[in-house]
Amino acid sequence: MTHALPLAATLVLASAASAAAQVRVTALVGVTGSTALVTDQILQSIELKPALAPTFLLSVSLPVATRLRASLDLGYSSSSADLSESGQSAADLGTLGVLTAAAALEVPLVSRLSGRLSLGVLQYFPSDETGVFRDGVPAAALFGAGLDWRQPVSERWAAVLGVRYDLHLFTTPALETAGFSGSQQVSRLGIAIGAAWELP
Amino acid sequence: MTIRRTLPLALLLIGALSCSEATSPSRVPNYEWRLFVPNGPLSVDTLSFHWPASSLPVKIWVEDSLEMPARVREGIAVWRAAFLYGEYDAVVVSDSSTADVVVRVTTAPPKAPAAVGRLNTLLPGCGGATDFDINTVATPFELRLPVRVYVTPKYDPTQVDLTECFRVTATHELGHSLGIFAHSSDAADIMFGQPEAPGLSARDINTAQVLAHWPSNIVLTR
Repeated sequence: MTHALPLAATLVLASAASAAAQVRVTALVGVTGSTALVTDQILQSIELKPALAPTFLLSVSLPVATRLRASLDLGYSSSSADLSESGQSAADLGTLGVLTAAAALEVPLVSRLSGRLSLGVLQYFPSDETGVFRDGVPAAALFGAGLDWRQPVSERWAAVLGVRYDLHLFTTPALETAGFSGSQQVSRLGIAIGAAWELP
Repeated sequence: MTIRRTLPLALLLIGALSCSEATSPSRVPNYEWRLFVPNGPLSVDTLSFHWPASSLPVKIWVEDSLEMPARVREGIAVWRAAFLYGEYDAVVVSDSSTADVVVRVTTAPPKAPAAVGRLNTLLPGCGGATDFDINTVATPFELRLPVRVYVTPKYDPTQVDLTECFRVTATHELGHSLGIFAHSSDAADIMFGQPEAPGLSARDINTAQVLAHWPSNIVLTR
């Protein structure tokens, strides 16, 4: 079951490849900001939020129809998990890694600008499994959207400027045990630059 | 065509996710944890304490007797799990001279005059006490380290299994050492004066979380 999604996606991409399509590999480096993972009130307002995170994105895409590409995206970012009370920094709860895997559709918009929509999963990896993270963090469904500006620099290479937005819901077993109801809607916004390479 | 198909789906997903909002718990009920010290005929000082982040993890030295280090480690784990944001952590250390809390397996000595706070615990098989040496004349109030905890078997431990009694007492006394300067009035709480509860109640957890965010008016000295 765990391997079903990547396998299916690979098969789809492989069949698309047989349609004489060009594989494009895009690698981007940038930063991602996030809204709060937890908002709480214990005498004062409390927020737990990842700091601005260096981000690495890797995408492999294929044309699947006229003006449409399908891609598999991987992303990883890592930053400190910052706690603030009444807006003042209060503590650093260790490092928080975030791994995302998504399937996306890309469509050209205007000029060298393309848009993308993605669906996937997001997994947090806290360095300290204490507090809100003490009983683990379940993977969350992820919806994403983005824009890429692609500037060709040679026949096969292009410079890319990308903007990514994604949305997921955050909760943990520890938060549920503590009496939190519902999940926190978390938005992330990132900007990245990099290169795209089209295979022959 | 594709955009026309996927855009409604995307908007639907955004709408579904946007409807979600986490609601935090209220942290009530809780109980009084503060220490009230008379400072005149008709007035009292209200003392509240929690370990500052710079002092974490709290260093606890435990006398290696009757498996008390294991009981204290269990107590640390219980209290650590009561907090969501790393407000409390402690480790057992081997050097008592630098410890913030010293746990001895013996009868508590007569209360020293300077020790403003002593909280006694009484279980059928064992007892406990926590001494706080607090200077209430100083401004701000000063807590002289180490906090001293005593755990006392009432029966010969080789004849009676006191493991559970030690575990409950150690957890209870650690509750005092993290800033709960009073006893609960509810027998379901581990901080009840004669604790029977095997673990922390919701009231214990609420109280610990609230005190950790209540402004402390006691500084540490050694």
